Amino acid sequence: MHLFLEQLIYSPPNTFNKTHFTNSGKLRKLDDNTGKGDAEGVGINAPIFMFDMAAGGSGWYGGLIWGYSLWGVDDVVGSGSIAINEKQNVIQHLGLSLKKGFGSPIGPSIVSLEANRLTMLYEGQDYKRKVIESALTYKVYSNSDNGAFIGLYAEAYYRFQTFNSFKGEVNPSVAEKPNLTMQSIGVKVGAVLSWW
Amino acid sequence: MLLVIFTTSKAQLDIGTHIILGYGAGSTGISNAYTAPYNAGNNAMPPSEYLNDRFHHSSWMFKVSRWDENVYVDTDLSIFSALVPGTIDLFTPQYF
Repeated sequence: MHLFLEQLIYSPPNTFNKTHFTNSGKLRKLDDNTGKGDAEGVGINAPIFMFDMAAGGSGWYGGLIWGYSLWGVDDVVGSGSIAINEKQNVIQHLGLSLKKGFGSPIGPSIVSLEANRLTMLYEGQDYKRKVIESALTYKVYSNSDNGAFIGLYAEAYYRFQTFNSFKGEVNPSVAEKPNLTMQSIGVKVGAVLSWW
Repeated sequence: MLLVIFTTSKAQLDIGTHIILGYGAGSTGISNAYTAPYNAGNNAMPPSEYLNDRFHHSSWMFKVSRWDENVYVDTDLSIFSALVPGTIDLFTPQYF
């Protein structure tokens, strides 16, 4: 009775409050999950493979970007039931870049401004969500005294992605997802070895 | 700071072909990551509420690159290493 009254008083239409449905589920921290799939989430945005080729002169370069990044486990909610995409998805990156190379106190460096077309590939389903990504990347190499260029490498990036809303048939219901945005920052460090 | 970097030292852009081994880490914030609730038994709920989340990840990095006066090529292969989940509570239905 108390639960019924609580729902009656506090539940506005089309709004869910987890405390009103005590039998429908429970809250738990993601890091408390034991299942691998549970913890992988959506929007990981971790890089997998990226090919960046550019040509130019006088320190300016224009080129092509192609690669893939990790999306994670996605869910698609239907109007009458639910279909969960339990497999990891990937995002394909394809776009253009404008680069400027210049010296720095550390060594040669290059800044890259990218405009990429992204395609989210749903594994096992014929769905694709296409969006535009803007990215800014800075890479710097440390100078070497011996001419073999064995030194350190550092990279920093910022990516901004906007995904349009998604709607499609998922038997037996209509799947829908709202617009979403992702902002990703990251750093990479490494050791530079000469090609032999 | 960027201006300082642009204006200091002479550019030396011809570093030739090289290999880079390293490690990277990143953080991604995402809007509308989840719907809540997914469903409540036979009483299907409209997906009216969406949750934001943030993930932190790290990867091993392997690069083969070339940079000279007229060409820049960077091939980056990353091996996913670890994921630190976000900080939100995720509603977990028990009916599925």
